[in-house]
Amino acid sequence: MVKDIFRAEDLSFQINSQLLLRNLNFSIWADRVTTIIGPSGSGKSTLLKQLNHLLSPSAGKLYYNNKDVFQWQPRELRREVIYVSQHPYLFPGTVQNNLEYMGPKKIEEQLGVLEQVHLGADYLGQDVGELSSGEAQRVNLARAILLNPRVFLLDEPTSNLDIANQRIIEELITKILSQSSTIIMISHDLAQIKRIAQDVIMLSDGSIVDQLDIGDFLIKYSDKKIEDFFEDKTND
Amino acid sequence: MIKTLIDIFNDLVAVFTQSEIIYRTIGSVILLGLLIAFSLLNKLKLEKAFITGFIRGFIQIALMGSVLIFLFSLENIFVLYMVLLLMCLFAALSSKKILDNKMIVFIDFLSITIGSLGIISFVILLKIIPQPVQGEFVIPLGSMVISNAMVMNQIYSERLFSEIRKSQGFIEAALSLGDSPSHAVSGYMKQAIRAALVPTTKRMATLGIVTIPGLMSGMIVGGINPIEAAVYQVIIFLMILCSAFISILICGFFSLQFFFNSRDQLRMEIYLKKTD
Repeated sequence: MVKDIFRAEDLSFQINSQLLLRNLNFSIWADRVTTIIGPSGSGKSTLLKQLNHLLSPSAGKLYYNNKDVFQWQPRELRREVIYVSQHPYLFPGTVQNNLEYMGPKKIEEQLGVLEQVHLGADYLGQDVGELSSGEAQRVNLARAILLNPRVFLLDEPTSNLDIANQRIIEELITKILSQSSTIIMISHDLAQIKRIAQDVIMLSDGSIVDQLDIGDFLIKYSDKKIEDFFEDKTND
Repeated sequence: MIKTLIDIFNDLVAVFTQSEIIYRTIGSVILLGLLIAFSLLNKLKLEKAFITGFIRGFIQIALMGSVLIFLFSLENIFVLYMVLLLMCLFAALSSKKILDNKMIVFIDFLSITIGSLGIISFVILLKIIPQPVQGEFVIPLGSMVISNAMVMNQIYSERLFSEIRKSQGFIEAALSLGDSPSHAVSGYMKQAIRAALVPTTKRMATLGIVTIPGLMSGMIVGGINPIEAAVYQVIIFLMILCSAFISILICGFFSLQFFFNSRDQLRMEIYLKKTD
């Protein structure tokens, strides 16, 4: 039986009197790939940060694993629900320093995870300043994978990457991560959504427009309508 | 004997009517004129700052000279500590102009007071400074320790603020992995501590060669043995560094409460921008 890993009830978030999320009600199912889509500034990243508890609701409730996020110790929750930002914020030092940022890891584990992101053993000692953007994003993901979270929150993990790097990350998401974890990701790429997503949450101006599985989503919305939605040309 | 305010006023009037003082004052005005000319020639637009700074500074220091006579005559340790506490308060208030935040003023006040008064009490208790404790020694000593703690605290706060403001993404990346706020900003704190302490450490290393401190010079002029004066000077430098270090550590600890809330989240109002 599919169970919800996140549930929001009238979740709102406001900062400096600006309402960024408005009365959101949704469920995100465990062990599936959910894609959050919406125009720029619709609140997608803010929502992901709510799920990682980098931000907390101003009103309403958010439950992780049927427990109010405020009842979780923030660090405990974040170790289970890892947020991977759009920009790979790697800490100064080597790739290994980054992989061990949260504590020492066995060398075999580090090499294993590097292999998953298609990086060789020689990358371990490489300074992160010398990495290309694609390599840096893969190290960013490798750092998160090593912590073995239950949920990955991926904020446009393939934006600004070339096709080859996009495919490596997509393959990692579909073939490896989604086998054992829940994936919640933001994407602006319709083709990618079709390849990866199982569920879709549509967000516009801080409100949920629709939430449905990928089959229903593709039946209900034409490609043109979705592209217009990304460009904020529709009120659907 | 403690002077009355009327005595102080009479002293001021007497001093400013001396022809020698009037001549020197005119001399300083000529130097001010040179500064203004330099600013005008180079279009620096600093003339107003020079003039107001000169007038304000002149009045303050002239009044302070007289007040010092009063303060130096103090022997009551409680009153001396009240004066030092007042100095700590003004030191903290000066940081408001730089960072414009009431909570930072409070943090600065707490850290400067604990760091400075803690170290001053330490040297009093260990009888490192001449006994019995008198205003003429404690007030200048307190002034040096507090003013240095203030400057180093401000350098530290400014550097830390600037680094944390610039590094929102990195800090959030660390927090999002389950890191603690103190560990997430520890690198920035170390950088800020170094930035604050290094200039004074360097000044200490050049003592007697490049830096001829005022207190030591004054003591020598006053007839104290140069070695004894040097020992006092080194003690003062160490007091300055210790009090600044304690102040900075306390400031760092409380700054965490300023930058992060109880849910280990960055206080977004610091960044004043939309997150999406």
